[in-house]
Amino acid sequence: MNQKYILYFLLFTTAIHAPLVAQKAVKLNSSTFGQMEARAIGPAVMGGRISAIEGVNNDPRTIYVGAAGGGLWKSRTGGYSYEPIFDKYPQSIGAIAIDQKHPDTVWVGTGESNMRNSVAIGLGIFRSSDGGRNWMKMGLENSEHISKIIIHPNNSNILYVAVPGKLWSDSPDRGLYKTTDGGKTWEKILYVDEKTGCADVLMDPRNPDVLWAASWQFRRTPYSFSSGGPGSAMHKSTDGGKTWRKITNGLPTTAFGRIAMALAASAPDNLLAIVESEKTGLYISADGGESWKLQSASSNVTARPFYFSTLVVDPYEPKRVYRPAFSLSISNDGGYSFSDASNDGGWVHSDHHALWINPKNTQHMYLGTDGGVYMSIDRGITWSHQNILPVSQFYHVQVDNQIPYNVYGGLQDNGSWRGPSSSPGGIENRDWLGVGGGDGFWVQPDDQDNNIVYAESQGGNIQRQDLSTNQAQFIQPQALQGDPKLRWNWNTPIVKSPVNPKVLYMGSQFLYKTSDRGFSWTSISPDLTTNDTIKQKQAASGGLTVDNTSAENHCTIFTIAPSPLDENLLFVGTDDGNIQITRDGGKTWDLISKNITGVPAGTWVSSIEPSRFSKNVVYATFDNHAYGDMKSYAARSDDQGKTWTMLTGEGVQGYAHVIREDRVAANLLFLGTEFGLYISNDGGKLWVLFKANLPEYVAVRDIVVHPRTNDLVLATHGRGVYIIDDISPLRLLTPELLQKDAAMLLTRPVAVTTGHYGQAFPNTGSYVGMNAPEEARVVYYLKDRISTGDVNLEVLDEKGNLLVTIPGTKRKGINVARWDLRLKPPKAAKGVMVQGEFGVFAGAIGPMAAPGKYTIRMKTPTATDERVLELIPDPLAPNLDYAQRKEKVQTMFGMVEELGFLEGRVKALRDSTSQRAALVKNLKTKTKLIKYAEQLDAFRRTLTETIESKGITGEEQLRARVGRIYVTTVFTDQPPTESTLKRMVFLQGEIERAKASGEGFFAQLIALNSDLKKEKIAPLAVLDKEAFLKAYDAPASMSKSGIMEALEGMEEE
Amino acid sequence: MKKIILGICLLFSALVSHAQTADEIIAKHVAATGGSAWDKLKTIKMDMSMTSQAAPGMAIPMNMTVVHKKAMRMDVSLMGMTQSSCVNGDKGWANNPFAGQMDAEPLTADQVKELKEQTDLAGHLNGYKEKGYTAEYLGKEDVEGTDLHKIKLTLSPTHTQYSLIDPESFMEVKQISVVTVDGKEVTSESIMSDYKTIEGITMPYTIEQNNPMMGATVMKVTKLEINPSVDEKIFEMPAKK
Repeated sequence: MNQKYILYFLLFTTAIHAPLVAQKAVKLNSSTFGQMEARAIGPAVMGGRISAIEGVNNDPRTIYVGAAGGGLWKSRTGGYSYEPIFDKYPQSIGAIAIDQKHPDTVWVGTGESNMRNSVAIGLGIFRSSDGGRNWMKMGLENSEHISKIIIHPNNSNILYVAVPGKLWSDSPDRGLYKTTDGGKTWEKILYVDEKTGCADVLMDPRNPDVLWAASWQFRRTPYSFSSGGPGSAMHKSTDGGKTWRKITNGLPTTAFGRIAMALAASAPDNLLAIVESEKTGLYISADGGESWKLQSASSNVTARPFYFSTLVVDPYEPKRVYRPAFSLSISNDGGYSFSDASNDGGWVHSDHHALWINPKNTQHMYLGTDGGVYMSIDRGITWSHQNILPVSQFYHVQVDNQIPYNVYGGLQDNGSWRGPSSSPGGIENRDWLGVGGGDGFWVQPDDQDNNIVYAESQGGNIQRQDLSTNQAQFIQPQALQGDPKLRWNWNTPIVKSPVNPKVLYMGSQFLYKTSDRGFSWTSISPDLTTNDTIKQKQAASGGLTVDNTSAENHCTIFTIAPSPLDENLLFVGTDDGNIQITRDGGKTWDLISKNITGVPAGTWVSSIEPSRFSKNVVYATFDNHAYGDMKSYAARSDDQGKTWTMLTGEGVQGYAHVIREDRVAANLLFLGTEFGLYISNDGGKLWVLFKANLPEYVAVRDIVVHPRTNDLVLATHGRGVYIIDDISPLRLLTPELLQKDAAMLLTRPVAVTTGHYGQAFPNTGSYVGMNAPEEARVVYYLKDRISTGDVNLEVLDEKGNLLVTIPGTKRKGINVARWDLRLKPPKAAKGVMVQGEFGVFAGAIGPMAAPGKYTIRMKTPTATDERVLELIPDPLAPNLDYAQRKEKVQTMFGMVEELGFLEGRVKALRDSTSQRAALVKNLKTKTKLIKYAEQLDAFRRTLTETIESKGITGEEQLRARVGRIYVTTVFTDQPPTESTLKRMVFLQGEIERAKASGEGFFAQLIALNSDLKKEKIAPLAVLDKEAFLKAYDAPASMSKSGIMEALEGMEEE
Repeated sequence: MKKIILGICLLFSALVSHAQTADEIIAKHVAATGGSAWDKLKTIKMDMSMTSQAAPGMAIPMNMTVVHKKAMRMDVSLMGMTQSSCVNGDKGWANNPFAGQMDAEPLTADQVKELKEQTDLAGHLNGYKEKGYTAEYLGKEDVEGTDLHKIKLTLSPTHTQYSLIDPESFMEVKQISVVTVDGKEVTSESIMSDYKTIEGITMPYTIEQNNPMMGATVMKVTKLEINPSVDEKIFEMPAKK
């Protein structure tokens, strides 16, 4: 093929393909983020709400734990360790069922049924047939909440699923469902009405066609809850659910609320039920549910029936009954009387929702609480916390500016916490510090004093904590004469001024401001809510059981958003749909939400983000789920709220909690919804889900861009805090850049450090959150996966010299290569391993690059791109003299290599001498050669360690001595000590003496070669540098050494 | 008219995509990588070079010799020491000079079983039914930014392999292997690229493994010999020193 022909061929094929390619513009999509992964930092110390626990009966080491917002976890070690197995699906787990005949088949109903104000929703039922590794969607998509799944004991294709259904609206998608074909189709076999779902179901183990079910009428609004009504009832079927009749005999005659049922498996005619009613109590039946009588109505039995719906009977003892509620109550007389479990094993978190008893050993059980999983081996008397599950439910997150920075946030039922973004050895439970109790929400560190933290519990109970004295003071603004009762949201905003570090804001229906750490507050607004009195009857909320915990408080301020550009410009959002603006620090207020079309009136204003690029620009999110509307609403105004544009489009799922603008790229926006984190690179037209190591459906409640590190910090409601380190690459990832075949992206300046180590002895399965990278993350973009050819990243110094090459990955989208800032290691002498002697590792450790500007050049088969990477001194170790250090390291590096060269030459000469000796016939010459080889070998044994032993020899030759000063120097950022430098000079002398001895040996070659010549055998030669280097990295192959091969090559030349 | 054609196309593609089964995908994968050429493969010798983001500037040489369904030996050289592991029939051994164990010591039965499975040069998907394995199609999954076919292959109760296969080339892009050895479950994920054809067989010359702490490790085949003569003495357990 001549050149011309090839050119024509190329032009021809390009002409055909070009128009097709040109039309297909690459858009940002979920997989673009690729290796730019989020890291989880926990915490696991306090856990979070657990809604379901099931174990494998024949292998009770295998248990599955479902969290309220933290997904599904599997343990194969009885709870010593867990792994998340449901990260691509909704994170709220309502029910788990294991097919005990095929225990790798597991069913999970998503959307827990503990119907509190903050409950999350699910997207139906899922099945795995391989123990949780892969999952299939199996329908019931509109259920939102699933409370129980029963698998027919003799037919794995028959299942019953109790669906309470939607909490916030009417829905026909509720009731008891049955499948007879393994979930392909579902039949609704018990349905009352659109307000009434199914809360519980039981099956008679002797006759699986006998079923009992509890229907439940319930409803929430943003400002009220109601449990109970004519729909609630107990039902029985004896024909597998074809027909049902209500059971009333012996039960209360007034309306029911939620019913929790249990059956004694060892005596299945015995049933128990906690029936919520005017006379809530535990009722028992001894005749298969036909007639009932009241037993205990003690406080823990009757507590919050809508929230505590668990009742468990021992599998073999029909009278042993467990009632998990506020605490764990245990009955030995079938529910007639109860006593509480002990707290001897330590404090057990209150609010219990799940209990699994190991049928092989009923002393052994697992309890799911609002604060995680506990295990007992004494039948529930004492409990041990498995504080290794990172399922904490954050509402908000804040950061400080310490190095490393801390994160702060409040958790559902687990107080308020501070934890580091990095900690030596990883972020462990011990690194987290409690800074407030109750349900936690907003936590604000004081920018002027690292010891001061503002935290709150539910209903705006703000405290100022002094971490230096561990004392707190209650500082909530108080109603004064003439003020109405203050209405504080469950999740009351506490917000700092981004302009004036002294100022803190807080809101009831009025906005308050303090400039003296909460000692005094000034109200700077009128009532900013709709003040609708119909929505203020919380004292009567709850339905049959009054439940007024501040969770339903309404007509309150939920969002306070001061502008980063102007101290007097503030936005306030309320839970009843108002957005108000002041431009004069609170003197006058304008209602601007009335200008929004596209968001229903009265919709909860979940976040407001005033732009840092223009005082006119403001973003807001709206959450209408409490009216049954699960849509994502986000809007932007370019004129301080006079007109608004709706932002969220196709592809965004879940009601919106928060929107944030990047600090540098105005078009880079972040949106947190109930179903994940979404990112836009075009100002909110296109949003894509971020799923790189972030659970895809995790509720993202709050987002912060750290001002110093450019990290994106996420508060998830169920999986703790996640951090996406250094989002500066995203700032370059514009729609235009995505069209390039390959491009280097930006990396923030990287501190030169050998690392900040910590020794820890973490237990099996204990939670250790990942640290921020201390190495450089070299980030590049590839338009397509490269299936043929390499990607390499060359590190060049300022003069353009190639220092080191890093292998790169080849995936579509963002690739991240890690460079630990080490340069090529020295070509050190080879020898045996000596345990405990780190000097022998010199050949495996390169020196650190010094601070300065480097160029990273990316080479793909079709493209080259480069970008400067700046290495900066470690801010945690200031005043280091890098230049002086570099000079000393170079000297030591040279010493290691000199010795390596000498040892390589001696060894090669020894081997070739032995080889010649075998060929030589003249006995005198042979003897000379053998003796010479022996002398070379003995000499080599002084240069490097050679004793092969199973033991720890402690052998130390010149290699270990020289290696030790080099290794100890490159393993720290500090300058070498005086003793190291003195030792260096001494060892330089040793190397010179060794080299002189080597020259002495090499000088003998002239005589030996003349002997060899007589035998017509090729002369011996000493390796030159080039041949040595060529041989150095060759494998020590099975037949002969690389050195030998190199030597032969040299001799031929 | 255009609409009708489009409709037919959509219908057809819908039918095709639903008709994908594990069998079909595996058959296409085997055909695309060499088909019957695999049957002729009896021995292999491979030199590899390993580079890692965890150790910049170092290339660690490895070499491997395999006799189909019988024996395998792998040597890794670093700092003048060579670590060898070997399986030969139903026995195996390894040394570990990096931990001071110069002599070869026997492998456990589970370790032998696991290494022995790797001597199947034709790959586990090729003729999986005859080998007594079961395959299941798990649909498509986003891998490395591309939607790939996911096949679950169950070799034994203690060994499952997930193969992610490119729907256009039918090359295996990613493999996840889950093996339980002596009670410990080990999951390893490999990404394959640089497919090259040698004597009718198409094989990946680059294998990448990723670790969240260490970054990527890349193994590249530098030399590959098909059906070389193999001195089977190399599989014998060396005498103690």
